[in-house]
Amino acid sequence: MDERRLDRMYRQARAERWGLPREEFRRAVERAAGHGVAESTHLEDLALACACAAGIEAAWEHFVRELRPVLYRAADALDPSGGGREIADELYADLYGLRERNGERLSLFRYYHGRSSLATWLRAVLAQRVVDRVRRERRFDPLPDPDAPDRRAAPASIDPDRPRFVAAIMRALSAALAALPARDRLRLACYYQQSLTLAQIGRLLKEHEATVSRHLTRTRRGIRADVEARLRADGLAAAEIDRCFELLLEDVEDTDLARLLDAPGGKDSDPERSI
Amino acid sequence: MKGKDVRTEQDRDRGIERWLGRRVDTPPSGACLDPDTIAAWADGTLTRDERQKAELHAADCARCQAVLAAMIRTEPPVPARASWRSRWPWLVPIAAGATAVALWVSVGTDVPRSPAPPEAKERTTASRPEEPASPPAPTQDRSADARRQKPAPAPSPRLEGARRPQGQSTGATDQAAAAPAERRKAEQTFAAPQRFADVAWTEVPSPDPDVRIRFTATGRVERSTDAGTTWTPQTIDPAVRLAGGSAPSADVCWLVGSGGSVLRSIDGTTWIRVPFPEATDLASVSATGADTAIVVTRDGRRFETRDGGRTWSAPRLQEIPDPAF
Repeated sequence: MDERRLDRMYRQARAERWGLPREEFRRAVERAAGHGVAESTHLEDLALACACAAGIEAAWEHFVRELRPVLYRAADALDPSGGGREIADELYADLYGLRERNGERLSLFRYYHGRSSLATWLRAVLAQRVVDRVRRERRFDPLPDPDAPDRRAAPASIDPDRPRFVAAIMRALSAALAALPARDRLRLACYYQQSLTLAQIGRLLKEHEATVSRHLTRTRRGIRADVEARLRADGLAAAEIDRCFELLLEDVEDTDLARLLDAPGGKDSDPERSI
Repeated sequence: MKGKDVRTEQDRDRGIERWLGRRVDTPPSGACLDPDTIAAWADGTLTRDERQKAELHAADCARCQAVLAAMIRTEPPVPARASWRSRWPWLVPIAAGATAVALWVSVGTDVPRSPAPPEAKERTTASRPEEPASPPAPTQDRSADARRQKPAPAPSPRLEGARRPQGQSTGATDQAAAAPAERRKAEQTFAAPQRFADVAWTEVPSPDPDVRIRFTATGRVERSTDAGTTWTPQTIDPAVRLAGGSAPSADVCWLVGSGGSVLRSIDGTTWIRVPFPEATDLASVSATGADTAIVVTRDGRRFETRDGGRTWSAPRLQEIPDPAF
């Protein structure tokens, strides 16, 4: 790397206040460049992370004073019962770098490349760990007993056409959903599955909440029209299409369960993408 | 077997919404987003291409959706929006200059330095623009949500031009409808925002006519115990932009504002921030005591507490409002 450019970045990052060796800073900048961050707009945070990873005490004091409260606030917001804070403490230990390889302390900070502020990055790591834990725990929840009395009394046994209609409407819905642009699918998932508010979705997608509302309404209407067209194309009569939509308002849990059991294990915590 | 009637579009939409809320994960394309990308997404530093790739993956990945949702839920409260003065500082001297010129034209020429002929003086006075009959409406943020709300009933002639600002406790309106005419008149006067030294104040009616609380959207709060003759400033977090208030008694007052800010005073002097489950902008509050209050968010959801804000009831299931524009 060009020495003059490194000098300028070192000054901009105010790295000298931590007494960060220039070589450490150079390695961090080069690592960031390797991850597509040509020149971070968060150079001060990058220097702080680098100094913390190097075990510089003044940097750690700053981190504990300024950023650990951010981590704890986020942890409390994610799980007020204390589970989030437990994960935040584990994360803190990983940031400090308890594991050693060849006598070198490995700190999680080496994954920070200055693409975002350090506070946001910490929230992202924490959020991912909390979500992974919740999903792991959910996987061990017992599945509903298929022989339970209420399941045996499912309307499927009464209506011989039900499985055909269920298959038709599910196929049509899945196809209609898959045909939507990614942003529309994401907006629907945020609203209906993650239960985010319109304002929160707006912040995530950088849209005004009125725009989010308008798009959700439009997308939902579009899905309905698409599903109706697909069912008609499948040769279903108007009364049969009515019956398909009725099934959606009935307890469709049993139909979804079959899909759940057939579904691939889900793209879960890819170790490469979790830190 | 005949089930529920789904012949209307609304019923079918309801069925689709139900399915959308229950559908199971579909396998996403590619590897999950790493924390670096998620953080950059949250900070808005992804390039357009990166953003599109990330959206493409997150659209089908329940795990990444959950992480993004968690990120949004843990977002620190949005800092108060910078005032127009800080956004367009150059407007200040221009506006000041324009005001000075206007004053000079309308007043300065009206007060002759030397005696002027009476007809010239009359002409100048006649050409002066008419002053508004009432104070100008307060400067308020008017979001699309506010526009979507049902239009307020037409104000009485006395209140023309001094409408109730958005976020004012609606409880006062209900009480006013049931109260005798004199009381209603007094409360309407209370509700009208006033301008003092270029600041739009909103008064929070209190059951005690001597005790008055007023606030500005920019976070100034004052209290009077002598029916408005003197006002005592009170200290709150200056970052909070206030939108509504409710005072169920002389000592108890609740104020709400930006970023999930809920403030409560139970002694009339000190304000304590009450935790609120979401960092969303709040529009109004209606309190019936020190412990009980209903808060309405800018997107129309209602949260209720019965224990002074320690716990809040889950919001009512929100409906997607049909766009009215």
